[in-house]
Amino acid sequence: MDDYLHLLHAQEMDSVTFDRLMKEYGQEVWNYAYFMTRDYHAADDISQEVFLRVYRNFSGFRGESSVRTWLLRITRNMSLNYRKTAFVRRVFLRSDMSTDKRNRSAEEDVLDQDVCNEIWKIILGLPAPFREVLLLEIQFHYSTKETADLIGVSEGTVKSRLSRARQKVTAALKKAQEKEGLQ
Amino acid sequence: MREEKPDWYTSVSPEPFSRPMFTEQLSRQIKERIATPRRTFRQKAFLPLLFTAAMGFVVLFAWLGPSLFDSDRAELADTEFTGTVESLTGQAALVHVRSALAGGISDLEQVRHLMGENYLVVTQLVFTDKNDQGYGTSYIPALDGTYRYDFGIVKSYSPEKPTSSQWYDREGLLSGKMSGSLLVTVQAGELASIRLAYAGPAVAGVRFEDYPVPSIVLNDTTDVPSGEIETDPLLDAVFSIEPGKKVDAAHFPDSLRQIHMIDEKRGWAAGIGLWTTEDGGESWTKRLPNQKQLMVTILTEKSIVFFDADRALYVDRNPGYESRMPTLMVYRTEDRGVNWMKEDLPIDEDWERTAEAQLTFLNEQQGWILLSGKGEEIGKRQLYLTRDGGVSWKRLDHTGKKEGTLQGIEGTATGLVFRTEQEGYVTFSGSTDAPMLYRTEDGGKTWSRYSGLAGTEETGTYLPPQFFGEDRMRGVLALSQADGTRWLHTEDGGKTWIGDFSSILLDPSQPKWVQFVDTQAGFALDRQHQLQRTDDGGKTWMPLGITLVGESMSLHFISPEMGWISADNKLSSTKHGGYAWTPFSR
Repeated sequence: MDDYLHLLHAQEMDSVTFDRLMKEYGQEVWNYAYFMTRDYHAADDISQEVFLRVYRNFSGFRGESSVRTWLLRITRNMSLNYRKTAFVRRVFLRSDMSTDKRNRSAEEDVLDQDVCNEIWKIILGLPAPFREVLLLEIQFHYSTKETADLIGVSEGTVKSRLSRARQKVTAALKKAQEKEGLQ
Repeated sequence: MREEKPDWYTSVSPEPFSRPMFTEQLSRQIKERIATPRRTFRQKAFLPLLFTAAMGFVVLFAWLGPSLFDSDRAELADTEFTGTVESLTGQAALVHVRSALAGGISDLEQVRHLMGENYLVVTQLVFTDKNDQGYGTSYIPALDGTYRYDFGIVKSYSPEKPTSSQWYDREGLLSGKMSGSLLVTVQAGELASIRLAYAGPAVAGVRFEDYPVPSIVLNDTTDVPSGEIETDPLLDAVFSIEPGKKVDAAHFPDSLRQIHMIDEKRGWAAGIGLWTTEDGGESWTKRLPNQKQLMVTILTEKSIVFFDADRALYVDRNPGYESRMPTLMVYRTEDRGVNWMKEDLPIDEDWERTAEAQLTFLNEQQGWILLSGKGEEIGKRQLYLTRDGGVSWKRLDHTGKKEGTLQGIEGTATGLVFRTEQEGYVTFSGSTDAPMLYRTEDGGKTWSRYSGLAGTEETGTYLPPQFFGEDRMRGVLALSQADGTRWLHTEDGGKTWIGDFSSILLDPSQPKWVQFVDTQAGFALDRQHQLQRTDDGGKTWMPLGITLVGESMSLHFISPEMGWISADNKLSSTKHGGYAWTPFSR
């Protein structure tokens, strides 16, 4: 994280730093966007926009948070606003692509196979606030404090949201096991 | 107490996806989009149609989607398909609103999307004809104030309006005739905070929940101007050249901010990288303090000093690959930039980390650095002194007192010059019309405003003075004014000044654009970037028929005859006093 402190002073984002940022955080940004939107194309578009924005406006980075949190915060806001504004862009961007690329269900099917295990599938089936805290905890290893800071709620809220999210997964797993037992 | 993690935590894979979803292709696309301006689609006629159709689809999906596919939405209400709460009542309405709020709401449009269009004005800073505390029916409350949205109202109930002591309808909430109310604060036309009031299930009274609005609100992707920013081929080129590598001036890859020649052959240049030449500027060798370092960010042209062809010194941030706090360092070389030594400047206040630095040397031993706070720290200043050629630096203490120091003086320090070990000058620009020149007579410990020079207590901005001669008794000082420039000369080390006026217009924010090689011969880039020359100390100026075009420009003369100029990556030199130029080009 400290590696990026020089961004605080730089006038321009250099290409090496930019490549490194994408390599290091691209996947997390994509995952976060996907978990917020559950939309394959949205995640592609949002992660593109996040990095473009970072490249162009990285003077917005004030060093109050780590570069990672800063990236995730932008990702989050973009995901929340996605339906409202960015869809327009997406229609535009996709319009000149081949039609099969716009076939969402095919993409979604592929994606379904790419989800690592049942537990992640269950998590992805939960409402956004629950998916979000679980992703932040399990994949990103965020503490409740870091999560609270990122999503702008109190630590208490994060804790209760996490606990409810866990309960939901546990319940769903139990249900799935019972179903398996019956067969 | 930390809650036990459920068993399944041990069997969940650390990554949700089995393959990289942020693909190489995606990052390539991003780089392509950076490299090429954003396409504009307006020319394509079929797009608006497609757009309309698509929007129709979205709207249809957004409205039908939840009710078609999400049957137990009371339990699983999701931020994605918020929709308005208007059709819901009771606990379902509350659950819906809380889930949406928990998912994060960052602007007024989202509030409207969730709550519908009816709201009550609780307070409003700017009153309009809709301020009668009735239901507002305008689109969204864009004016600053606080607004109440009610939801889950049973038919035939009309909630109590806000009073000066209570913004919500307590009876309505507790009786279950409405599910809740949202208090929305608008500041500067933007959503500032959200507070929810509702009756808890056990009816313990009205409960409140506050939902902070995410601090960075990026509610539109259009705020990034399209196609405006592209990669800079120069930037890529300069990064790809390793320190020690020589390039031809005709293909110079760096945008120069400063040229400084020592003699006819040898000199320095600074852009993103540092460069040295040994053939009068025909070819340049890249110099950087460290192989790992991509660039020097050298704070300004004012923070670098070249002693001779071998020795230079500059102030810069510590490099980004160091995992430690940002600080300021002094870099020194004694072998033409091949090897570098660096010392931390002994700063001890936080603002100094991001300060602007100006560097000046009286001779090879004694030098000063002036740090000036930026942004919110403007007006904060601190001096450092070296007596051993920049090896060690001492903070000049002014024991917290403001009087007689440079602290708090408004404006930007544009120059720092010492005439002797004791006598120094700082010029300021920007704050007032009155010329701001400060002088010290004790090596920088105390400073006072120096005014009334040659009776010119007028308006304008001083450029840093230049002193000449072994004893540095003779000097030139320019006072840039609205209709021209006053040139002040001293023969007695600044005790008395005599002024001449000429109509040349200077840019006082670019002190390096004026250079005198002696008290009479000088060169200047005027505000139109035209190169001009004087031979009488500034009284008359002669345009040399050259106008520089570029983002960054510089000039440097080593004699009245011999000089160099640069505009971005283009270089030229003259041996004829600026009257004839030889470009280093293809």
